[in-house]
Amino acid sequence: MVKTTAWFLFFAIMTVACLDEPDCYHLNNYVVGISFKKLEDSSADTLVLSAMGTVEPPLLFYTDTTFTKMFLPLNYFTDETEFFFETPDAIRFLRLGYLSKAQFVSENCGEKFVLSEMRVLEHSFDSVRMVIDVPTSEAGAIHLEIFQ
Amino acid sequence: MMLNDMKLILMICVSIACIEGSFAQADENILKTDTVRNKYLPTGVRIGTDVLALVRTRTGDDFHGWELNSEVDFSRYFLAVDYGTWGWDLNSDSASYSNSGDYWRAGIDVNFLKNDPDQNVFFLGARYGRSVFAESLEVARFDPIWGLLTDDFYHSNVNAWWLELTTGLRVKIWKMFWVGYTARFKFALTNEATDEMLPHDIPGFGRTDKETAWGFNYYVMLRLPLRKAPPPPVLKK
Repeated sequence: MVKTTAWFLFFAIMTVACLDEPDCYHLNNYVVGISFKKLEDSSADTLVLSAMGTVEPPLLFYTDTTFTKMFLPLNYFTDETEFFFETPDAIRFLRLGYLSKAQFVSENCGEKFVLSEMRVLEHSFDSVRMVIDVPTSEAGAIHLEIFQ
Repeated sequence: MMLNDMKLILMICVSIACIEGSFAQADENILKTDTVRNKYLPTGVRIGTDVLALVRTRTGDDFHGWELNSEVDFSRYFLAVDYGTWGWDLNSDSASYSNSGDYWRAGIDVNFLKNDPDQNVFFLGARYGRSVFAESLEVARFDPIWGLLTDDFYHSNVNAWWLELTTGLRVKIWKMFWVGYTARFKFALTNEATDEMLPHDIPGFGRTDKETAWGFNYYVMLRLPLRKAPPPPVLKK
């Protein structure tokens, strides 16, 4: 009984230990989901954009399109990312701050960046509400609601 | 703690209960003898080293480490203290990582081979572990959106502590020479890492990308006798 239990525990532990390799996909959680809403009744709003991108580095993500929600990448090399939203009427800004921590994963996967404690540092919309403060690794979740 | 971990802890507890039950039955066949005098005085000290750490250090370029292990018996209970050091040098296409540090573990094992004439041991136990380590990460990564990042991240004198559930065997080979293994389920890790970097590997604990870790040591040991062991109980005829 004792011998059997000892061998069982030994092989069970070795088996589980050998299956403990991480996968290398979607390691960085750097995607933020934004939905646009009307200030009056919180219903979905459509944002008409002439251009949309980041201020630093100056990157252009979209031109001449409309969104009710969008998923944007955060710059995980720094602790903040500022986006601009150019509409036919005005240019609006949204500056997000967060904590970005580097971590080595494995020789196959390299490193990853873990983002947390996201917050709105500055914006020029009517109102912005933080729903979830931890960015995700894939598009799907809504982290911010922008009211106008 | 994850559900799987809870299941495992439950499984270990049930195993302990089963083994205890089987020994309770076996004990009924043993004549009750007078209380053994000085039952809880140590009969010997076992001192050993982890062979796997030495082999890994010798054969691989990426690992260096060693571990010393000591155990002293108090009847069927053992006080175990380990001290060791380890470090890794790991490279990927975009990053170089290295760490180094010392660790110690202390805890109690319970022997379930109570009446073995050679004093062989099959044990279950628990440990508290602590580590002090340093690590560095150099990153040179190209991101299709954000471009090239080159940065160095450092940690020094980081403290970490954790708990372990252990099981293993100790077998007498010849005179004072013993061999044995210890398998470890490590959990409840806490560390004092800084804001810029998350630890990858903590000496004594292992990788930190999951909440729990597994460990395995294979020891060669010397047992230094301190006094004559009490005679084993007499079996009923």
